[in-house]
Amino acid sequence: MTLPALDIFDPSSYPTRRDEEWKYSDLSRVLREAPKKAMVVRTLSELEAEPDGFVYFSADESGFDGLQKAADFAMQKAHGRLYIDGNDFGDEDGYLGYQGHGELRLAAGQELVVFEDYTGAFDYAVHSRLRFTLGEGAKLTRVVILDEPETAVSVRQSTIEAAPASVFKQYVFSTGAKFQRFETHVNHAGHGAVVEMNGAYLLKDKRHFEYTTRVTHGQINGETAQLIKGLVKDSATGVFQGRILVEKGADGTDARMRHQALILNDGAHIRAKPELEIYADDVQCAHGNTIGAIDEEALFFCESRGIPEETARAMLTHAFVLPVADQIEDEVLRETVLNFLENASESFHAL
Amino acid sequence: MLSIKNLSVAVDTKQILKGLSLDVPAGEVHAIMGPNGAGKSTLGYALAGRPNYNVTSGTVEFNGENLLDKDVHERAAAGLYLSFQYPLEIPGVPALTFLRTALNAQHKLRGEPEVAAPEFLKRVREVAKTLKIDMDMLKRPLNVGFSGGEKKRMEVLQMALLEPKFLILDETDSGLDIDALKVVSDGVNALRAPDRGMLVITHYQRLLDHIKPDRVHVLVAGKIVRSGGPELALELEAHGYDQYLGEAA
Amino acid sequence: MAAVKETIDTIAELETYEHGFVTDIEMEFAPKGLSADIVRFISAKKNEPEWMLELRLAAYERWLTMEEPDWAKVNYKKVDYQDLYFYAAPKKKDGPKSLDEIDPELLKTYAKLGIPLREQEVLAGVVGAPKYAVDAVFDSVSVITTFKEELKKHGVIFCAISEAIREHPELVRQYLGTVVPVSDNYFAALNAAVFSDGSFVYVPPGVRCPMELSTYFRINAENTGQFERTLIIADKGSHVSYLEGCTAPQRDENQLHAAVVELIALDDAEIKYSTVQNWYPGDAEGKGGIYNFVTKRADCRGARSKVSWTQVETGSAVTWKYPSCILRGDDSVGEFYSIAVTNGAQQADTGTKMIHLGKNTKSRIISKGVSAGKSSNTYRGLVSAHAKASGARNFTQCDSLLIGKTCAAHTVPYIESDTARAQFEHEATTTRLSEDQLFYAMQRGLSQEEAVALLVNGFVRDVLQKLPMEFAVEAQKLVAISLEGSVG
Repeated sequence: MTLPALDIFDPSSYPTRRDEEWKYSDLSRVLREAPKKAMVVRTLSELEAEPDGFVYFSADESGFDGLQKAADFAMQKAHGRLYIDGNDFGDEDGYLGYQGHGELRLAAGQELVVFEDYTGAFDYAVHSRLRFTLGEGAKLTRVVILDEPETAVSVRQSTIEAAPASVFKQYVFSTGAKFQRFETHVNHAGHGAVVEMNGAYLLKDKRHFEYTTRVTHGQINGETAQLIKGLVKDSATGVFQGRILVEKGADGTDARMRHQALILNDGAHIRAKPELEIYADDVQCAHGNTIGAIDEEALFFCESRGIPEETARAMLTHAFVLPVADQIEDEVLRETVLNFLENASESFHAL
Repeated sequence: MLSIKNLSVAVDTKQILKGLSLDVPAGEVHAIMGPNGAGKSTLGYALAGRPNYNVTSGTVEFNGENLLDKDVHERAAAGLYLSFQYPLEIPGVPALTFLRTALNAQHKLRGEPEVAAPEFLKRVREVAKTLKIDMDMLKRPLNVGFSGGEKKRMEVLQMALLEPKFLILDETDSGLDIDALKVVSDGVNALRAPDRGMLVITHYQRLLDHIKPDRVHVLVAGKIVRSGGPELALELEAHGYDQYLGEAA
Repeated sequence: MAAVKETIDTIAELETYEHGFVTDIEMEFAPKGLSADIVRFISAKKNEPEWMLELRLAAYERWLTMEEPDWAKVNYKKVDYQDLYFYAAPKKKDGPKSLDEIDPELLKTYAKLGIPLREQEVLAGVVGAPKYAVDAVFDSVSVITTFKEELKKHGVIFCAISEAIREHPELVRQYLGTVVPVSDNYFAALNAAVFSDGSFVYVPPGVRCPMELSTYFRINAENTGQFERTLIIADKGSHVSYLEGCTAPQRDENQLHAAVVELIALDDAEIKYSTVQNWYPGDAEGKGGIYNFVTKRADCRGARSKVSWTQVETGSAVTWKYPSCILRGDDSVGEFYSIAVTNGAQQADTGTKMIHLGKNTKSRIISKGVSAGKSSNTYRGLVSAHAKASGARNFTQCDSLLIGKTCAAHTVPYIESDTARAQFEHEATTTRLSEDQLFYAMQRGLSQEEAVALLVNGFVRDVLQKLPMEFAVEAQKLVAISLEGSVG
């Protein structure tokens, strides 16, 4: 699986809206010229497990050298938990650019939980690519928090190769950025692989988030389940582009994709393109997409019980996205995400 | 009427029936009893000709004809009716449409004239009444959203209208409460006739209180291990199948 | 009930494509190829006013600058526009005044297709059978329109569009190209430049059209493109139901059909537009068949107006078609009900666009795709709500059924909303024809082919019910016939 070439330092490689894959996210309009290359001074910290069981890996300059080493350490010496700290700093005058690629392999039967925490400050443009390869029966859980500043431009792409009977679970939580695209390509390269790709987003002001998922079922008896939930207000834009491709012969495929969005005011945007592309016949595939408004009746009910409107809205917002976080098996990460969502729900409604 | 000799059946590649022999003369009701996984449903499916139920050896004669030569719908037209343990839902096809299509397809294959719509409806009304099926239900897509009991009653309605020569009832009592069981078995008993045979497949004796068999056969691990009169069912109810499990192996 | 029975009988009786015959008739052709002169030739043939010629020439200029679209999931040998006849008409002196003046070969053709061109044929039919008026289009021209006089009594205008351009220029000028502008897309521009005929309907305010209107399109001549243009205007508070049917001979070459249909519904008006498309699909290996590249769009311009598209697409080698609704008027309603069946090597990329601009606008989409053989069937649809379209509602149900291991089914929905008070709901499923259901139906005595027909008709039933009664039976037969040989 190869991704189309995108070089953050080469504007001629920026896709435009004429490119169907980038129909709702126009990078060339946001980033009119190439960002300045950030001066990268990289220090790989000593690998050791933190008290909460995580092995800490800094990706602050978006370089992912040593990622495999950190992951191996986590799986062999610690509790199979890896913390990727992606903290990018920009300039206040013009964009600073970061670009990094990383690779991670899980051998047969290995299990790893990766927590990717992307934050930053000021004007930066980042493009990263991660490639995960899962051996037979391996299990990778990926929890991603995108908590970036409103000036940031970020494109984070990843590919996953799933061997027979492997399990890949991904949870992405976002508050958006000036331009933010999170793109995941999964290949069911082995039979009986199980994939879950979920996400939740809360976008306000002029923030933009796009969650693009591409799943290819190339082998028999694969399973894919997706639940993505999001809210937008002000003039924010939430985009979900999901495609499930079932190749000829990939019989026994069971694939389901669901996207649910709420628009809180006129002028906020939701764009959804949930596709099914089926070339096999013994399949069960479905997708659902709903767009609606916050439940005014529930809001009224809360208020009638004495809860102030703003608190009630935050409560309902939190409740709407909660089902996504609830599925996270790792308790520590589930708590982390719930905290993040609680804060995000509050600041989402704050003026 | 139905004569099964040394029948072996594999589902996909797994051998389920292993040399089963059985004769059901016209006018008689035979019960097949056995523990879970003995091959009871497989027997019904194999006789009806379900795809992937491969007859690996043996013969089945039905009214002097080789049943196994025939396609699924040809067996149906020849008069073989399988009442499904789990009747299928057919979305978008009203029960009445389904019934009339099936009836006329069978008539056509047998070279008989079609049943005219008024006559057909009159007949359906009569049968539906005895089975306590509302005519409105028959206008809905077949079995879609029906309860377990309603589905079983629809199976009996179909057999009453299609007037098959031989009935195979696969666990017809499963999922029925006592009232529904009575309605269903009354419907089946009404079909008992000197020229009609029945094979009643059941795990429990309960159904046989309502549909009295002439003969009872015990099916264990793909073979009939014992045959007897109606008293055999009572004995099984009292002692269970354990005593036969050793014998079959 | 009777319909299913009939379906099954029909399967047994009919050839896979029963309309594949050719009519041997003397034709008049324009020279092959496309140029400004050909556009002038067509316009002159039609005795068109100057403004119409200018519109055509402008469209032609525009077309020259455009590129053939390639985003649909269809592959086909590109059309050589210089090797096509853009005008082919049965030879005749003047426009036919009565049936007696029509070439008997043509009459035979329509009789064979089962289309009543004699008004008394309809009248002499079963007592109580509904009347329907017919506009018969043969290659590039309309050969006759029936019941014109009776419709006229109600103020309804139903005629060939070429006639409307001459007789009702004020109406045509006011509305033509306002829903599908010439610049809309490649095929729409081409159509505007060279369209030769099609139907025109105007229903005056408050009138409920007293009968079904229908147009039968027949492509007969070789290497000829058919470019029809249909314009239907439902004035305030009026109501009209219109049906089109399409057939073509069996030929080894691909033939192009690039139509444009514009519907305009003013306040409280309602248009129901049904299509039974049965163009020659080509053979099982994909040789021959019609390229069906069609732009159909309705403008629900008035408040509380309603447009309902129903289509049964069983024919054509390649279909590229998205009947759409612009829901401009407040409280207007758009509906799209579709059955698309592909078999053999057919390719269909079809769906709809529901564009919500007015307040409290509603739309409903039910699409049932059936793919068999080596065919490919794509649903492509857009539902969008503008920021001012508060209270917009959409419901979409989009189901695909797969028969066999070599076919493909795709679902490509675009859902866009900019308003807080919209409620959009979209559900889609893809499943294969259930072997258990097949076995169950066969156990009750249905042959495999009959069981497939029954199950597929059950699958598409919700949409069939939206067709006018007389055509529902026809459509049900078609669905079954086009799936012949798809199993086993």
